[in-house]
Amino acid sequence: MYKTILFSLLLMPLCLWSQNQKVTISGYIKDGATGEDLIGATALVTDLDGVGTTTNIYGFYSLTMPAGEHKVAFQYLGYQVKVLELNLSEDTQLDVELSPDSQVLAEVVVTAEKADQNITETRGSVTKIDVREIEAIPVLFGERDVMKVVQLNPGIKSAGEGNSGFYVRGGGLDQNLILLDEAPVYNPSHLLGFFSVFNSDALKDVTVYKGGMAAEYGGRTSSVMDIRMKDGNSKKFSGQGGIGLISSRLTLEGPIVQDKGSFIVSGRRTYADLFTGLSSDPGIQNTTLYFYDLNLKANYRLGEKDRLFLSGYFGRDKFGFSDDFGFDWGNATGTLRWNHLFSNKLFSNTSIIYSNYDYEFGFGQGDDEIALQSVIEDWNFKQDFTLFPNDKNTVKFGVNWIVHNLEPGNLRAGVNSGFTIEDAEEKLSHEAAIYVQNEQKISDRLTANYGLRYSFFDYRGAGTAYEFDEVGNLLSETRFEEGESIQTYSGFEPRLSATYLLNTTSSLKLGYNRNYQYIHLLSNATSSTPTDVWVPSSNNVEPQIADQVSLGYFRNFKDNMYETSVEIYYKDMQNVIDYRNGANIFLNEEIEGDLVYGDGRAYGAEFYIKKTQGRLTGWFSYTLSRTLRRFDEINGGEEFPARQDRIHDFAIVAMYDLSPKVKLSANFVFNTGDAVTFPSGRYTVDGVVTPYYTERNGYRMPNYHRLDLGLTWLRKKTEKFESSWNFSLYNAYGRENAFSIDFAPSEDDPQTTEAVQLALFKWVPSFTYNFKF
Amino acid sequence: MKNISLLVLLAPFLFACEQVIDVDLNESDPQVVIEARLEAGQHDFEVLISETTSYFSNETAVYRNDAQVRLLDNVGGMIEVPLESNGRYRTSVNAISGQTYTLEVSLNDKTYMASAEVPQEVVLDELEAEFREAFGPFDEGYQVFLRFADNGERRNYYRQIHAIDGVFELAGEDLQVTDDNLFDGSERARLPIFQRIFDPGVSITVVLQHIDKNSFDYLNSLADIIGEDGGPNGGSAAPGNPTTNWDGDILGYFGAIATDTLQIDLPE
Repeated sequence: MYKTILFSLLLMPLCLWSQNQKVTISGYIKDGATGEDLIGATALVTDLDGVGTTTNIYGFYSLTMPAGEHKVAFQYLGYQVKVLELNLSEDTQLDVELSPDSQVLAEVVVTAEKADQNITETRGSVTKIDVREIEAIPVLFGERDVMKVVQLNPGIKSAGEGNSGFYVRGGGLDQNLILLDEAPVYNPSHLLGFFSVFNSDALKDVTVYKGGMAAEYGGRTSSVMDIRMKDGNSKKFSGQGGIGLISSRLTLEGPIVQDKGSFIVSGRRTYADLFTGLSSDPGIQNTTLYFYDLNLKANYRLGEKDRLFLSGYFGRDKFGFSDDFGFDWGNATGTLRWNHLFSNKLFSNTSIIYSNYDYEFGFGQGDDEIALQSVIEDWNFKQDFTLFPNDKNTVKFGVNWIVHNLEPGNLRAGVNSGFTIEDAEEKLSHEAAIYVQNEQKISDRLTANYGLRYSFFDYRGAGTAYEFDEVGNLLSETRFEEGESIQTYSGFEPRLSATYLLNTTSSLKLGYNRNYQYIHLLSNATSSTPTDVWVPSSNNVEPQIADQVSLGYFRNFKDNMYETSVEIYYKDMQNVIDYRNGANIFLNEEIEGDLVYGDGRAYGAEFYIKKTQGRLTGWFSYTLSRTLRRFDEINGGEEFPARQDRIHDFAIVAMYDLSPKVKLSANFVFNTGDAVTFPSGRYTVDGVVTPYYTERNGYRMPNYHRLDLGLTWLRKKTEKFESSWNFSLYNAYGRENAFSIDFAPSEDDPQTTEAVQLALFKWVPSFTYNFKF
Repeated sequence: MKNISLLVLLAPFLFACEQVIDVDLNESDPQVVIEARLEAGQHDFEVLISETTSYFSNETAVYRNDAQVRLLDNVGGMIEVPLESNGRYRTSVNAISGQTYTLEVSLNDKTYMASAEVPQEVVLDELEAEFREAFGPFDEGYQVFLRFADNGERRNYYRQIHAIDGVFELAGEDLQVTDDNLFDGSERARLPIFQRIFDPGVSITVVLQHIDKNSFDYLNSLADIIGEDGGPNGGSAAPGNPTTNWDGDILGYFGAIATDTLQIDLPE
């Protein structure tokens, strides 16, 4: 461990402060039409080789150069380049607004980055989603979904048919840190995973870090999906919306005070329940089923140096049947942020973040009632600093303190219910981290981002620690009082990513990261469900640890028209969690006795070709990979493939501008079937035909493939109003992809056994009407 | 609770199609299966010894008639259990609640052992029926609840079995076992027959079994494996063989039970 620290310290450059005779320009780069801050826009001193910078997540940049006359170019793809001639003798604050390129129609998809950013960017293993692309790609029920577009990229795999969950490079579903304006979202899906909670109308930037993530991120072992909401139009009042088959959406945004502050309100609600009443089937008539999302955000500039942001998300699924049964679940998050400039070289962000996920269900009324509520609640304090000491270094450092409060089950039982239950014990834990990282231009060709994160976890009383024997029988219980520490863990998490430019069109990228994860998701089923249980690390459950190395070659062709990359990775996972047979996750205080701990590894190669310009745009991605797990208690201690071990996984996405008004799109996906456990024999005990299993995940589901088609027709476009129709066909050739294969006695003849395949969606057409004003 | 199939939630949305498919499964070596349940009081005690067959086999099960079977109590008593026919070994035993019995089976030059404590007698006080309107995939009909008293001094385990007009239901989702975690010590514990709505006018027979922990561990893990939890592949997070109390590498279990039975005639 000391070697790790020493190594990191040695890497820290000692020359950070040794510059003089220099001036700094700093400020924000914004969209001239809406006032939205542009994330990742570049400022380049054209007369000095290699002096440039990009804006941070708040649109802020700081650029240091020798005093004198310079030309500085500000650019962002899809916007007109602005070149300013500056005569600089002292530090200057300079906010720049870029105009959207009039040559580029809003419907034409362009990458929102500098043309060769994929080559020069320090970080490999990053997937940036252009929010505008989401509109064109056909999806299930026509519901635009950023999480489904993410799945079409290399190294990221869908959790299943129509599902918005995803696996990154062999990690689990719970190992993705999904952040909405910095707030973690614990259950990012509606309706058992078929729709994500993210309404793409309200989103500005979506970035997924598959590896080599910077030290500022922590808490999950596999990936970070950083989603930023729009700040709202600070120039004029505007809106957009859509009416679709499943849901309708409306977004309104505008200035609070022109150029000083803005707001955005975005809502979505499904209305399947309006139709259930029309059904002739009484079972459907009595059913309530809907979900909604509400995104709110406001920001205000208090002065030149201070800016406040307040953002929130509220979403809920509601399901019920008359008065007899109700079940609803949802997330609520809130983020209060304060940006402050201590100087033109020191940017500070302070965030207070709240995140809540809960589900509640109940049967019956009054004396018969039984109801249960389960809550996950996080309070999170973050302080981040960005320091721009000179034109070669950008240093970030900060602290983060999260209080997790898990209430597994608060129960309410009527006198007639026969239940004698008490609330399950709350689980309180503190997760803290401190980090420092530096992005350094070591030479014209070599850039590195290196950092170190130290994380600390404390599982605290009041609570009970359980001790189990080797087979999971309870041995003893120890009671801890409030404020007492039950178990602590901590660890150093070194991070590195480096880019070496081979020439102007190609680069090599290296990444390494170690990540700790202190809270863990337990799920009865193989996909995300509302009743998922999170548990903190404890005396039994050790933190999960992942180490990953990746190496990539990036090359652009034809003046950046084609972006290509090949990346290979190897990931080692410790303390991964699985279950004993028959594990009972639901309201089980002794659940830890049902868990087993092992290790895993994942490795693979990812290939990517993207065409960014022209009438035909799109990409091809192919991942060749393996994901393996090993547990002493499972499969006789032999290594076995994880469920998501899909060896071949590829996707083609194509968008074609048939005319300025009509755009066609298609995507095709193919992947090897999931690894599954099928029986190798059968026997009958107690009249029940029982499958006999000999190995874990020794079989494969059938290969999965599907083609989706889409058409966007721009009906009307004026300065004031724009409307379009979107038609899509999911699973165009009606492939019956296996959602599940069940082995069971035949219903006709219980003495014989059969395998029954369930396929979910065969040809799902849908349409949406969208408008903007 | 996990038996509430989550797919029910989605029923109005799904365009699902089911079909029987051919799956090429590996053949495994036959494995010995021994099952036995000892019931409190004077009852026939039966031990069934069989072997696994290939999954899609239509052949009748292979039975083992070459075993030596003995039942030992914890006060030095020993009863030979003789072969009756077709892998069934049977004798009458007066099992005493609270005593631990050990079943010893010698087969293939090996001796397998498993123990079980006979539970206390249980009384099924009452059956209640409540009318339910149609709901999701269920037609309107009656839900049936069991009422009984739970002993609060120890952890108890139960299994419920039901018959409609005298015919016992044995589908995977009818394998319903529970511990008393949610109603420990309740004078009037109330358990529904999960996932079953019964037609008006039928007669429902319910058997409440007070089962030992070994039986619970076996049946609960079995329910997880064969149940339909709604996720892909039927949903078990950990498909494997059920938890057995046999000390060797064989299948099945040796459990002990106490039972009570009631019947209710549902209104027309």
